[in-house]
Amino acid sequence: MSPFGSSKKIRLFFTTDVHGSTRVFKKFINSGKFYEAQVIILGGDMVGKMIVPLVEQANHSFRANYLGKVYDVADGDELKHLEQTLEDSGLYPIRVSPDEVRAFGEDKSLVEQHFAQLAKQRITTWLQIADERLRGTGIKCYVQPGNDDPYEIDEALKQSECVMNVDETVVDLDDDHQMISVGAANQTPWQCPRDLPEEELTRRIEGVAGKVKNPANAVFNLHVPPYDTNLDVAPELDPNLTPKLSLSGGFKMIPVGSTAVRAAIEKYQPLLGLHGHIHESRSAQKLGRTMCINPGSEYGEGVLRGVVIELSKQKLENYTFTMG
Amino acid sequence: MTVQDAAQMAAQQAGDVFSRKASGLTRVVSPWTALAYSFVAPNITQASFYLLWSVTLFAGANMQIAILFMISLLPFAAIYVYFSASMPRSGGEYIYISRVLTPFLGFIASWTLTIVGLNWQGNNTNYVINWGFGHTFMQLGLVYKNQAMFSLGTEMAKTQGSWLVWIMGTISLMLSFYVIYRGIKLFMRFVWAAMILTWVMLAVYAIVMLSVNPTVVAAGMKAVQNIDYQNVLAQARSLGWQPGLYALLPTVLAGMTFMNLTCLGSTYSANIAGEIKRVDKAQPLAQYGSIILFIVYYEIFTYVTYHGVGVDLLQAISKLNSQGADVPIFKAFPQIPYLMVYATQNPFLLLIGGPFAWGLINWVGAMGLAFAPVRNLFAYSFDGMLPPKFNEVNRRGSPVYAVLLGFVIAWFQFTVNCITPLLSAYQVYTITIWFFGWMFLSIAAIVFPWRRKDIWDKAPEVTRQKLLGAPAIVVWGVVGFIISIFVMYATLLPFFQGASVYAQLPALGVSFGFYMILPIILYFVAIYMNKRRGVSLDKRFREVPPD
Repeated sequence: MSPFGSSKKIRLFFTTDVHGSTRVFKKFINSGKFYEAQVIILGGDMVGKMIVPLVEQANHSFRANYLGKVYDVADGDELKHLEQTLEDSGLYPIRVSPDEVRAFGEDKSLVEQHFAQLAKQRITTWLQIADERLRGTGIKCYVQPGNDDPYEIDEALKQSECVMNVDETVVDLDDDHQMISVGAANQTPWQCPRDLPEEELTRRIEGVAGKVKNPANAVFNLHVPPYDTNLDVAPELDPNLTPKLSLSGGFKMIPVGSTAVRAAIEKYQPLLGLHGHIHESRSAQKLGRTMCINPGSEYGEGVLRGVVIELSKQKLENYTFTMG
Repeated sequence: MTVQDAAQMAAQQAGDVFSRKASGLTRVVSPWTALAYSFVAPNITQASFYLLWSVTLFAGANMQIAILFMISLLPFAAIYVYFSASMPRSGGEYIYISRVLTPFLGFIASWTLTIVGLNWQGNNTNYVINWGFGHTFMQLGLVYKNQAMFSLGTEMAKTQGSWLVWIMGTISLMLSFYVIYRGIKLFMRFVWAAMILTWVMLAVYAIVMLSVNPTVVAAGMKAVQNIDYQNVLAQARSLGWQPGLYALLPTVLAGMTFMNLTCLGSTYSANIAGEIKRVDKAQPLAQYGSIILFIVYYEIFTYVTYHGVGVDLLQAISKLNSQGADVPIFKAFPQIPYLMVYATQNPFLLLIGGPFAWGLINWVGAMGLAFAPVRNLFAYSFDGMLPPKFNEVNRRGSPVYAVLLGFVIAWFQFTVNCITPLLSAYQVYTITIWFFGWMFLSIAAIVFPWRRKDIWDKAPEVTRQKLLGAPAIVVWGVVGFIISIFVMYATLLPFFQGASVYAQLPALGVSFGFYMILPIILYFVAIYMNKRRGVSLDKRFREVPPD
């Protein structure tokens, strides 16, 4: 061992909030090789938000209306291309008859049922891709569901050989660093599947943080950012979920992070905090000795926002935001 | 969770897609709010000096017609409309150019617009002290026949060589950056106050100007400051001013340079494109609508000024100012709000409709020009273009070192202005630099459908509109490119043909050196530094292959 300490470094790549974008997920799987990282981490919110119906027409072509643009495509390559384009943006295209579209409009529970099924299906496909690409590379791949992800996907996440669901667990990144992960968030206005009261979130974080051997050298992978930092700034919403405006016409911005996460970071003072959840709040800020990072997200445009991090034995050597 | 999913939200509202109950999507702001946002951004009250400066630099310009050439901004507005609908992200041209062309060009274009903002805060600080507070004391000195007050005003109105101006300006800048340091909440309160004052000032000014005519003003000049109206015109004529001279070309050139400069910043609504409902309607309303409103404001201001003061006096002052012959007569550059003292000696009206209100509005306006650029310095640091120190924030979340760097850049510009008129031609070259950035934006628009086919293919209908059989964004890109080249040429024209070529050469050199050479150096230094850290800069922006 060197008298000056270990010069061994570990390189991590962290991204978050891919929200159903297959293109972004594939980039994430390739990020280990691309950025020469030994560990790649996906911090939560894997599923998308919207179903786009591709309505079958009388002439067996398909019609979709998305963002004001009407797509009329023939069955076959054209249709497949459209489906891939929508999938890459995080959407779920489904082929349906006009009657089925009407049923969707009338019965919202059908949307939720289909959604869970489609989300699970996509995760399963993703994991197959990940296994094919990561097998034999030595790259560790850790993911966790975020507050937006339905519990139905947890079963699918167990199927992978190379991707590990680390939600509410402690894992060893190397000999010197451990990582705890919690994908749940404090309550949001949308009543997401894994929204929790702050007290419950505290309990879950404590449940894993208490198992860490050396918190000062740990990584806290907590989906929601700590409250009142640069990482958790979002527009304040009124009861109709409309952003409130400031006097000058801009948005009234408020902190929306978690007090439980902040308290945990202030209590344990880990080496690093990895967060997501607020896509537009890409930032890095120190809370005491802990560097907290939110790389933001641009999944809709197929952009992989992330951060490359180098840790030495007891130190965060550097971090570099990326846009791939 | 994000409001950046607004485009998807719009699709949901249109009933074309089905979203989950817990979608994380917000309702979004109305098109009218977007219009208000675009109108708020530029500081329109500076019409007061552009109206004077442009008629000499472009002799023969008819300003009321020149104002209409602000329409030449519409192609750029269209480009922002199309881009913002397909890439609804914060960052504006930095995002568009980086994605479509290269990160390097995105950085150069963004850097120029960032430093323009910071340097203009320096320039505006000179204006605030000289023509805001200096003119206020001069006017009050004249009204109350108080020589000491008038002398204090003339000292504060000195453009160079006054320690008082330098001290006041430095304090003013420190206060501005303190507000920026305190954050957006406090800053927005100032912005709102300035907005109210802008309209109150215009109303008071218009009432005063509509209540007088050039004959009354001529009598006022004699009575208040013992200046002979006819003598002013005669002196201007002796310097080459030709009354009644109007020509099309200078009118076009003035319109496309100084008039456009007044409303640069109206494209800011593109920066919140992701949060706007019905992007297909909101962005056109905000981008095109704000330009129309600027034209209306400018025409009202010009009309009432011409009505009260007269075209001849304004043109004569402009000519005298260009030769440095205005100060011996008026004891300072008589910017338009100062002329109010010849129309009314009511101190209340002078304060609300004249230089004092103008100074306060411009102090806040200057702050606004620096606010976003300081955020950009912070962002450059994130992207590895500037050292990591500049993205450090304090406990309040304020980027302390980025604020300090912004202050230093603005203060440097202000200090140089206090010492030497070296950068006095800077304003003209600001337009050059701005359109240099927009030239790349136009190129990005031209190649967008082919170079980023992946984004183009899924762009909303508003972006994919056709014009003359081609994608409209391409057509407007071509028009924008031609306008950019023309405007850059137009801003350089006084340099090419002016008598003071050697005086302007350093300003031209400094402007271009700072804007174009420094960012290139910075870019390559950043590449070297990032390589040493293990992740090359190139890799930070390069797309990770998905397959």
